Amino acid sequence: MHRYRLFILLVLISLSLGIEKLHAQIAVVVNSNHHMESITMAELNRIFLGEITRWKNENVTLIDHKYKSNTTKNFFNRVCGLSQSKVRLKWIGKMLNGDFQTLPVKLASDAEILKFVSETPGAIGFVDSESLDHITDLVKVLKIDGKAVNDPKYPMR
Amino acid sequence: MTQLFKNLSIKVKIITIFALVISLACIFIVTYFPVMQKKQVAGALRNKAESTLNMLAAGVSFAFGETDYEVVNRLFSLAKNDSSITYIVILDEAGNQQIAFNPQKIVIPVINSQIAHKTFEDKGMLHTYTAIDFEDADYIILIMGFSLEDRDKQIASIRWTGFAVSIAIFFVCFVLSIYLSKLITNPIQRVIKTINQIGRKGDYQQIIGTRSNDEVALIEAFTSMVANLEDAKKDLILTNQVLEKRAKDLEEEVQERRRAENEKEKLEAQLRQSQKMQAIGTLAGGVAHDFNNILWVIMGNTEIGLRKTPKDSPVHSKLQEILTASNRAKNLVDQILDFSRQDEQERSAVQIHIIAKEAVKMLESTLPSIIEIHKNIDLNCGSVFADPTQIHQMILNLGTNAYHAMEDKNGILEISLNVFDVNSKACESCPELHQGKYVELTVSDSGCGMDKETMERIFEPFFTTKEVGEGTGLGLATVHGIVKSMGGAIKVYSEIGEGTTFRIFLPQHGEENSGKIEKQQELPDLRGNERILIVDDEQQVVKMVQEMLEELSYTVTTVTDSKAALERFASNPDDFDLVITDQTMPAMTGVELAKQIIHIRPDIPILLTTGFSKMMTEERIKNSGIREFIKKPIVYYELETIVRKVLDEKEIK
Repeated sequence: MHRYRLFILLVLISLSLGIEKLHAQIAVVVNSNHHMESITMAELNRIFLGEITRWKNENVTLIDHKYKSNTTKNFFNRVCGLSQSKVRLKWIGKMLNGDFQTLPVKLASDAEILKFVSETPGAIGFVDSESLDHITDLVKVLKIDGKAVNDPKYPMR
Repeated sequence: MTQLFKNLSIKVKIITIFALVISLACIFIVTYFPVMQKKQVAGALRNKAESTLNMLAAGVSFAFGETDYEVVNRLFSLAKNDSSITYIVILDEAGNQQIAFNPQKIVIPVINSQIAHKTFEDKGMLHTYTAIDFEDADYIILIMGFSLEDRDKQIASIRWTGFAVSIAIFFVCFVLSIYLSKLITNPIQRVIKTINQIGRKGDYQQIIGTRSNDEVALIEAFTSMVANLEDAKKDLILTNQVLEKRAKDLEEEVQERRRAENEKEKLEAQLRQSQKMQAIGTLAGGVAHDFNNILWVIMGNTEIGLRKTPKDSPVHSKLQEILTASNRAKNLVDQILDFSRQDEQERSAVQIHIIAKEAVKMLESTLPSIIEIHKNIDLNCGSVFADPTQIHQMILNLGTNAYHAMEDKNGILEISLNVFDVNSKACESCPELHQGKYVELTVSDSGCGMDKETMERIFEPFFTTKEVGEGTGLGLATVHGIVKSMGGAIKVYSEIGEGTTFRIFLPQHGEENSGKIEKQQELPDLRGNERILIVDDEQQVVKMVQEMLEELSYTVTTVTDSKAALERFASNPDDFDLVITDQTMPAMTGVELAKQIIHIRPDIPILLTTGFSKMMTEERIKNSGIREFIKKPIVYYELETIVRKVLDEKEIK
C-alpha cells in the first residue's frame, strides 16, 4: 500500500512538471546591441536554416544547444519544420560549402547561451523563457512576429 | 639463325649478348616496376581515401552529437584543401543528396545501400562511402570521390622515368660492352697477329706485347711460351746432336766389339790349333829323340862300314842303300823336330838366295825331267834370320808337294824369290804382316790344284791326300810351323785343274853375319890329329863316334860315365885338345861337366851333342863355355865339319 502511494505521488509530480514545461515559452535572444527588436518566424526559419548568414552589421552566429531537450525539439520543429538532427545536417552542409560566415556554436546551458549572446554581437540563440529571470541588459529578447514572450499570442509557446 | 650467330666475330657476339640481356632488363624495368608502383600507389590512395572518409564520417557523426561544429568544419577545410578529393556528398537513405561539396558537378554513382562501406573505382575516379548513424533508426551515407589523375600521373611519370633510366642504362651498358669486347678481343687479335708472325715468318723475336695484369695477359704468357719453346727447341737440337753422337759412338763400339769377337774366335781357333800342334809336337819330339839315337848308331856304323869296304863290293852298295834309307829316316825325324820347333836356336842371318839356289838344284836333280823348273831368284833379296836347314827343307817340301800335284802329266814348277815391301796398302790380304821389307818365296805349280776343304786343312799335321805310306802329312805343317816361328806368313792360291801357288813371306834381316854358311861350305880338309875326349853314357854311340873320328886320324879317348870323364880330364888336362860330351847323362849333365872342365882349363873347346832337350837353348849352351853343339843323330859330314871348325877356331885364337 505504501509503495503505491509513493508511485502515485511521483506520477502526479512528473505530470504537473510536464504540463508546466509544455506550456513554457521559448525566447529568442540576441546581443543587446542588435539592431532588431522583433523578428518574424520566416526570418527565424531562414536564419536557422543558414540561409541568412549576416545581419546588417555582423555575421550571424547561430547557437545550438549541446544537449537535446523539449525546448530544442520544439524550437527546430516550429522554426525550421525539421528535426534537430536534420537541421544540424543542413548546417553541416553549409559548413562543407563554406556558407557560414561564422560557425555555429554548441553551448551546454541557457546560462551559457545568455552569456555568449551578451558577449557576441551577431549571436542569436534560443532559451527557455524561465531562464530569462537572470537576464542582463546585455541580452535582448526579440519579439516574434511583433509579439513579446509574455504575450499570449507569442508564437513560441 | 644459330649458324648466323656462330659466324659472327667474338666482338659482335659479346655486344649482341650484352644488348639482349640489357634489353630484357630494361623491358622488365619499364613494365614490371610501374605495375608494382601502380598497385602501391593505388593502395596508398585507397588507404588515404578510406581514412579521410572515416575521419570525415567521424566528424559528421560527432557534429550530430554534443561535439562542437568547429571540429567538423576543420575536417572539411582540411579535406577541401586536398586536391585529389573531387566531391563530398551525404545521401539520405533514399539516395537523395542532402548535402554536397561537388564543384565539378560530378555524377554520384548509384550505391548499393546494403553494403555499409565500400571503395571502388568508377569512371576514372575512386569512390568511397560509409554509412553514418542518424536519428536513432535512420542513417545517412557519406560518399567521397577521389581523383585518379594524380595517381595516374605518378604512375605515368614512374613509367617514363623507368623508360628513361632503361634507355640510359642500355646506352651505358652498350658502350661498356663495346669497350669490354674490345678489351677481350684486342689482345686475342694481337695474339693471332703474333702467331701468324711466328707461323709464317718463324720470327720469334718480333713479339710486341703490352704489359697488363689482367687475364688477358695471355699474350705475355704466349710470348714467354714461345720463348720457352724456342729454348726447348734449341735444347732438343742440342740433345739430339748429343744423342746422335752417342749413337754413332755406340755403333762404333758395337762394331769394335764385333771385330773383337771375330778376332777372339779366330784367336781361339788358332789357340786350339796351336795346342793341337804342340801336343803333336811334344809327342813327335819324344819319339824322335829316341829314334834319333837309334838312327845315329845305324848311320854311323853304316858310314864306317862304307869307308871300310871297297866301293865295288856288293856290301858297299847295300850299305849305301842303308845309308840312303837312314838319311830319309833322319829327314823325317828332322821334320818332326822342326815341326815341334825345338831347334829354333840354330837361327842366324842367312842369305836366303844361296839356300834357295841349293834347294832348287837339289830339286832339279831329284825331280823327274817331265817337270820343268823355272827359277827366278833375286840375288839381292838380302838375308833372313833363319835356320838354313829349315829354309832348305821348306823349299824341298814345297817342291816335292808341287811335283806330287803334277805327277801324272808334264808341268811347270816355278820358284821365285824376291823382295816384298809391305806398306799399309799392300798388306790387306795378309794382316799378320807388319810394315817393312819381306823376302817373298813363291812356289807355284801347274798341277791338279785343290778344293777349298782341302785347302783349309793342308797345314794340319798328319793331314795328307797321298796314299798311305807315301806321305807323312807333316810337310806343309812343318813349313807352316817354320814360317810362323820366323814371324812370316804363308798364303795359298789354288784352282782345281789350274795349279797351286804358295807365297811365303819372311821378314828381311840385316846384312851382318851372313857369310857363316858359305865358309862352312868351303872347308876343304876336315882331317886332323888332335886329341879328343868323348863322353857319352851310351856305349854304342861312344864307339861309333870314336870310329868316325879315328877314321879322320884324330886321337880319341872315350868315357861312358861323366864323373869318370871329369876325373880323367882333371888328372891330365893338357892331354886333350877337344872334349865332345853328350848332354843327357846320369849323375852329371853335359853342361855341368863342361863347366867343371872349363873351370880346370878355360881354353879347352867343348862340343855338346844333344838329341832332344827343351832345356837347351843356344844362349845357355854358349854361357856354359861350350863352343858348339851337334844335334843327334850326328851325320858324318856334320861331325867332321864341326870338330874341324872348333879346333881351327882354337888355333886362330
